[in-house]
Amino acid sequence: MQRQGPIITVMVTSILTVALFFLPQAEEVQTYLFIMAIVISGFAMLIGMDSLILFHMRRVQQGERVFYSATLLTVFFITVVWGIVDWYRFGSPFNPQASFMWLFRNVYLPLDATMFSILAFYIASAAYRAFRARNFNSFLLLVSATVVMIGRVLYAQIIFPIALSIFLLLMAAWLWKSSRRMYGGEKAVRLSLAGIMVVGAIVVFYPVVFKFVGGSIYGLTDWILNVPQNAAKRGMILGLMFGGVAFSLRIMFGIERSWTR
Amino acid sequence: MFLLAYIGIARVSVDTLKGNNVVMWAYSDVKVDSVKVFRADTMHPKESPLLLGVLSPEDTAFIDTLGGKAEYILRTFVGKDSSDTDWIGVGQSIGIAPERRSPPPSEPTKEVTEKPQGKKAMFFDTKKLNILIAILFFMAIFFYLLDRARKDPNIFIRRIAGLDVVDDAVGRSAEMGKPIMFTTGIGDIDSLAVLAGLTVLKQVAKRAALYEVKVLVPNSYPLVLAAAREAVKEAYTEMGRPDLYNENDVFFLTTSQFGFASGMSGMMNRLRPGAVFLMGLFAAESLILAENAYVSGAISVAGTTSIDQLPFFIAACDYTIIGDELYAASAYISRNPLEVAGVKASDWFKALSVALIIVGVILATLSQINPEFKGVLEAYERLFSMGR
Repeated sequence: MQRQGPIITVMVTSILTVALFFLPQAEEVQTYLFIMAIVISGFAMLIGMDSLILFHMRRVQQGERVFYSATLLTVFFITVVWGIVDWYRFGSPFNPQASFMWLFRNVYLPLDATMFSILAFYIASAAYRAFRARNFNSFLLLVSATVVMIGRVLYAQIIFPIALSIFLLLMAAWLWKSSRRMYGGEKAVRLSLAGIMVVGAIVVFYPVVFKFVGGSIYGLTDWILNVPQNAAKRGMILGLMFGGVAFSLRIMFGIERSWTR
Repeated sequence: MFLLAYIGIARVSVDTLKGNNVVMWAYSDVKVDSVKVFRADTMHPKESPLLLGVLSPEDTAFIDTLGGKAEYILRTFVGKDSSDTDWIGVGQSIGIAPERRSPPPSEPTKEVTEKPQGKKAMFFDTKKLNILIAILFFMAIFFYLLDRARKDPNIFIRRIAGLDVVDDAVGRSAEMGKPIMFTTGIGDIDSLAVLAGLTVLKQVAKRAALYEVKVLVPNSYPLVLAAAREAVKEAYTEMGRPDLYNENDVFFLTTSQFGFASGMSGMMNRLRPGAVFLMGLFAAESLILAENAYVSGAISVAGTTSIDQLPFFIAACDYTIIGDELYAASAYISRNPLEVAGVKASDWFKALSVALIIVGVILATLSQINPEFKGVLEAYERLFSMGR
């Protein structure tokens, strides 16, 4: 029964929840289930507290990283006691008048914001690694990401032609250098190829693409976001939905039971 | 209380629950576009109430963690129209006549407990019939493939590089004598991604038991903690090594998003794990975790159903399981034919939906060429729309 109990509970509640979606008369049952879930989550918090406190108390006892664990336990108990006192005085520790809110605003929120701000540096380092043209796919990523990034900033209309020209010049330089292998030392041929590349790209590519996407870098950015990006995203959403339904059925009917014994 | 007249709302009530105020409501027959919940208290007078949230028409409750003595108002939006309910205090409830601007003079006022009449009294919501048919059809395919899997367990499933590497990652950790870190992210147990992550955790823990590698599992929700402990314990038991299981290796960190990211990053940098698995539900902390895994020198394998976080994982992790591959992960690793049959069912349905989309594209194109097809297109669209 220890094995089957949770599976039967999941099966019954999940089938009931799906059925309630189609039964407008049973809104109260839905609300009741919703409140039950909140209540269970509330009790489950005790398991979390038990795990956290015992883990760090044992570390303090064993003398392993005592400073960090002692700090955590001290701050934990101060916060809990402070919250309980304000809950008693104001009905909720999150009452705007409660002094607990001072702790929340001046300690918790700045710490949270600091971690969030560090994200900017991580984005830069991840982008440095990701935006390298190792193969054709990463080259496409690099180009589209550059266009979208430029298209999202002020004065993009001025920046983009400059960036495009630099890009084409770099491409021409690469072509001039790499064509040595193909055409030997024929400098004239290589120069011609590079020149054709630059002129051809500016003359053909630039007006044609811009006309196609509404005449501006903003149009090109929107096109990348709304057409290829959105198409891929929708495909993934579709897959996620069906995958989610199949996975739910596996859980509902006890085929997938990794979450229990 | 009296019957009042608001667009889209049939009933509102406010209760308290563990210091929070819970605003609950039920909709009338009018389909609303969105609902705003406002709060008035000593700090926020009724003239300039505090906007607590803008909710979708699927939502029927809002938990106000500010709690305390307060009054609430719901503002519904239907097209360009908006309508406010009356202010309602904690412990009160009001019933509202469906779409009636004011009670008829001859009709006496009614009590709030009265059930809305008319269309609302129907037992089954016929607007959702197409969804029910789709679900039943999906289930039919699912059970057909399940039956087929029982007869012939050799079901093909395509290669997923991110899951092939699980053995290598565990083996590497064993060679280095380092632990493995596994997290299901910041979702609670009601998230499918977290449940899928737990299934992968069990498979990873099985291999860890085989190679005698320590698996550290920090959790951000207590219910996930309980489930993760069961999964790891069961994995060690199934591999015949229950002695290796240590309950304290699966532990609770915090429910705070960035607190969790901070705690996990610290551990990765101190312990230098051999492999880091990020499988579950992630938000803005995804890149913090992935970058710290990279900095710590671990093999990082990530998988999430959060589409907005996938680019970060692809950029920063060694291997990424994309979207619904996460749901297939457990089946892929375990090769249990019954689980693989579930994955196959979603593939069949995906193929079917692609066919339906192609039909829709053809009809949309034809309706542009010949206006006579517009009626067919509209009928086709109605098949997939709810509430028309």
